[in-house]
Amino acid sequence: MSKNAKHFSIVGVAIAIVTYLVYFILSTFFFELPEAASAEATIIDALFNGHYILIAFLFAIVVVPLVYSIVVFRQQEGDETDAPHIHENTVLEIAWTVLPIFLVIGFGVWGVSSYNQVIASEPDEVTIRVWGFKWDWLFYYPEHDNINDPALVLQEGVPVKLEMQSTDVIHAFWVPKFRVKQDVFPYDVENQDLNFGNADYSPDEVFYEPQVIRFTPVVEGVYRVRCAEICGTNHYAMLANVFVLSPSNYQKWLDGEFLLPPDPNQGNSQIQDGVDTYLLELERFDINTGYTPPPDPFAVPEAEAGEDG
Amino acid sequence: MKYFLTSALTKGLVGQILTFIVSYGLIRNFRKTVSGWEVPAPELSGWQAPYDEPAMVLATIISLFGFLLACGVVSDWLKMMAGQKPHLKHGAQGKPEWTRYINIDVNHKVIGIQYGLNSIFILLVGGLLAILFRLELALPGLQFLQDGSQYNTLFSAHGIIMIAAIFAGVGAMTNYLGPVLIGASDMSFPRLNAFSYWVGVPSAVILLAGIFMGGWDTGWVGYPTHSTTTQMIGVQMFLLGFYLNGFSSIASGLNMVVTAVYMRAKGMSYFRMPIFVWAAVAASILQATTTQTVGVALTMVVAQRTLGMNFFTPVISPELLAAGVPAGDPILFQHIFWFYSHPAVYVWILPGLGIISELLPVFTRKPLFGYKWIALSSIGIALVGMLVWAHHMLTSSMPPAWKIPFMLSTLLVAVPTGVKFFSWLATIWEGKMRFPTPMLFVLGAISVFLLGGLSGPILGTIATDMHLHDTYFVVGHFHATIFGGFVFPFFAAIYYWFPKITGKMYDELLGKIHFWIMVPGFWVMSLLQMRVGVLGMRRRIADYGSDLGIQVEHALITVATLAIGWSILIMLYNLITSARKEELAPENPWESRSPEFLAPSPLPEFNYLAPIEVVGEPYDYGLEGATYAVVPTPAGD
Amino acid sequence: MAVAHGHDDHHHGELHNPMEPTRQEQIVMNRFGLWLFCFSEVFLFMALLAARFYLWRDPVQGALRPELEQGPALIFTCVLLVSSWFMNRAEVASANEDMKTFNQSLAMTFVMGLIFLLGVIFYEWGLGLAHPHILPTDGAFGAVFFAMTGMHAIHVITGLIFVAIVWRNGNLGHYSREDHWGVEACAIYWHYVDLVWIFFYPAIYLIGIGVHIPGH
Repeated sequence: MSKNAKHFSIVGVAIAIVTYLVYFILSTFFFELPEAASAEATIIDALFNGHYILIAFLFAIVVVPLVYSIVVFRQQEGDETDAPHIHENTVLEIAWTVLPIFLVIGFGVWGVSSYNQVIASEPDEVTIRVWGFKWDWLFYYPEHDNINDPALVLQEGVPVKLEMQSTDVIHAFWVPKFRVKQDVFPYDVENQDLNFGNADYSPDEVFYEPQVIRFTPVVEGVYRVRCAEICGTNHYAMLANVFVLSPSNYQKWLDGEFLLPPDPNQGNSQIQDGVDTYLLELERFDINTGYTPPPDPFAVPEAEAGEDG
Repeated sequence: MKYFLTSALTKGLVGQILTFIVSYGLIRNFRKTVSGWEVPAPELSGWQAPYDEPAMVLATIISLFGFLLACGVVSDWLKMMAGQKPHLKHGAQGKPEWTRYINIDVNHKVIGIQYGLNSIFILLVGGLLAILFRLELALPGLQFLQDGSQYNTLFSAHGIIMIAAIFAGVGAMTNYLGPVLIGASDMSFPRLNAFSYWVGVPSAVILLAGIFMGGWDTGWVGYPTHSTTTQMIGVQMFLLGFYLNGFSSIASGLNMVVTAVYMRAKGMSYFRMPIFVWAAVAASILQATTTQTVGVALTMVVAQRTLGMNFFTPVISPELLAAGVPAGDPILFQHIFWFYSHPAVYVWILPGLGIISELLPVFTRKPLFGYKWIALSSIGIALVGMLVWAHHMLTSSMPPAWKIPFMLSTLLVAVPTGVKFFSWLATIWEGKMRFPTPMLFVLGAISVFLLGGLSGPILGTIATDMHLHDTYFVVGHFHATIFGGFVFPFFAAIYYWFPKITGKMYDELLGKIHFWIMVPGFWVMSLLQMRVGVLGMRRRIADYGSDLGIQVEHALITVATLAIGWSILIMLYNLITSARKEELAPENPWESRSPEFLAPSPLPEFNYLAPIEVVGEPYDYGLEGATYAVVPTPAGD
Repeated sequence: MAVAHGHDDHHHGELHNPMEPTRQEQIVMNRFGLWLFCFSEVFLFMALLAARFYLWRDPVQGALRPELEQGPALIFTCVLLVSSWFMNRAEVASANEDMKTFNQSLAMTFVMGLIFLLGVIFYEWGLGLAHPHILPTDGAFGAVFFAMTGMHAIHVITGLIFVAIVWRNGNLGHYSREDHWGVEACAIYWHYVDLVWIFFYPAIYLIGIGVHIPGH
């Protein structure tokens, strides 16, 4: 028995160390999440962190005894006898059936509450309507005369509610740095009442509800919407830029004074050179000053024009 | 060569191809001539195939009958219908022994090996497709593929072909081992058993043909409305091939359950069955029931594409809308589809986990800890598995009131799975472990299945799933569960029972090389897949862009994939050369207490020379004088 | 990978299985297998019913159904249900080796099953009508209606073939008091197909608020 106590204490200490090490590796390096750029990301990342602790602990309690047995108890040279005849222990078995149930309940409660926080609506949220189609996105801004733009432009710190529908197949809206994802389902395109583009779009909420996702962007910057549901040939290139602007720049953008880079996917052309095409125009974009169009190669420089004149 | 040309396999394949060509031509011309059914000339663009879709669908269905009639697997049943009483034909019918594997044979061991060979062949094809698209993904940008359609066809085909391979592998294990382990001479329904195998062959042919006849870009899930509208008509071949494979699943599942209930040896109560049989029965129950629902889902997609029946499109004409006629709904498909396709995963892993539980006591020289708990946890996993399907739809348009119960039931799967893990650990603890290749693969399987299991709950809670859904994290999780739950146990089983099957011993060194390349290679691949998923890599994309900063990881994943591919070739070389060598293996190389080692190797036609009798517990290692099964000396003769 | 034999070669060169189940044991397994198959098919029909209740509904009014003619459907349903009684009679007759009743009852079963099948195809599906009540393309109504009745009709056709085979084999003298498994299997299957219709008929024709399909 004292021999067993020795084994168990070594394993116990090793489990504690391995748990900490694995958790450290997961959370700081291996499964480090991308930058948290929305208020929801903080809630979700806390749950991620809880899961990392759980993973590290469960990993340790399985792997440490396994490796310890392999190293310590393995067959010694010349020993052809069988191992001790231990075949059951009811207390132990009930324990490892019941204890995980408590863990499940704990994570269930946490999971439900974080989900409710993520989908909760805010009183001052701004509605933006989103069309996904093969293979691009279009964003309508009903609170600004229903203008539309191939880029999603948001105001830093202002909660936003996206109402989304697809005109053809299922797509999925995902911005990794916002952590939120929602499948976008097709709607009845024959029914003109449901068309976002119509000025008098007003569906009966009982009969039709577009897919909704809510989040609050909190960090200024450029992000990317990535379609996360296989939708055909150019699924991989079904991207759209997201610009989270400061309130003043946002107002400038509405007034047409803050330029955004052109959408490389506009007009649904095929992206032949891969999705890095999206990065090209962004080189000329600055989140504070906006987009600087490249100099027109055919324009005559002013100085030369003066000489000629 | 003569035997090959006249084999059931050749006859069936020729029959299938001929019936396809003839019926396609007839239907196509019929549709041309009947007024109102004129077929417009197909507009070909790029990847599209020049087939008349409805004619292709009908001809494919007819070609199945062509295969079955030509290969002769249903001829006994046809004779019974005609009022004759055909006898079961045992043995090679005067031909060389090897011809049994390409002909109709009712012996469960032959069928098991047929399944195994089929499985490995399809596995190689699917693996080749994986290597192709891994090479494409090694660097950002499109390397050698022309467009997304080619990439989409590759990964879609990889998915469904691997699934067919896994089902064949499960069939190999349950068919070969099931009757042997319970002390029976064969399955309950030998002819149905042969049918289960042979209906899988034409369906595999249809799936493979789909790649060349238009390809498809829906993934293996084939969600409408993409699958109902895509121009890549190979999707029909995918749907039909998938559907027909279901016949094989249902029939073999029924057969295994009946066999386990009625064919057990004398004295073998349910709680004295070898633990693998419990797992096989749990898997078979799932296979025999839930497969029916995916059949409905796939039929509906075929019907919508071919006949215009609106199950899944929310679009409806204005006058029907005004009258209040409901339209279709794409989420219906996801419900019916996942009601099968989630349990399907348990059909693959339960037999694999059964193999782990079966082999651990042999190599630790200790009894299986908590036999009853492990046995019941298999049934528990199967039952809970039927109640979690909608966790694949946590980001869909399903209302939150539906999502939360499915989240909770999903987390509950951890409980019976945990029971298995802890029981394995208790079996290993103080075990005098020895490490031949099968044991290495068992340990590798436990480690990899652990990766898969631990990455599960994080996908189960909705908030975290909103980030991880449809990313490479899911790809990594899924491959870890399948490699840990099926592939590695399958390899362990192949190495472990190789001396029983062939009477020869495999090469231990090559086996260990296989293990030490494949398992670490898989760790690298799976963990890095999870990592790139967390960083923002989506599933099913041909190109990922360099802004995510995951190029190094992708290059490493590709290298690991290639290593896994090579290690499989090493295994095949090992198995083929070892089976051909002269030297015989010892009678009971693992000193196992399992009943099959009471019989000679290779096993005789009817497994045991006389009915065995079970007199003790199956895993009493370390108990002086304990016996599991005895072969009574045959009386008289 | 050879399967060794020779230990148990019989005198005629035929391999003999020392553990071969007896005919009675085989029948017990067959019966269990058939019941399991029926259980398996439950999932098929449940999936169709799920589609019906999922798609034929209205967020406010609840369940819907297409407005179809009730009279003929009720008659066909009654015909199918009565055929089950004759099937049972045939089975009993077979157990009593009463060939006359066996033949009569099976013929009645077959004819009534055929009436049901033809009724579905030519009246309910409207293949024999100038103006069908419902078409496969009529939204979710048409799709699910044809899926449910079509899947059931395939089972009825299989049942009719089964009845025909059993009738012929019965007259070849294959069934006896001890072993009439073929008839029993046919009866179980036929009752099962009837039972399915007992669930399908109200789901299609009775439950929910009737909606008239325009254009028919």
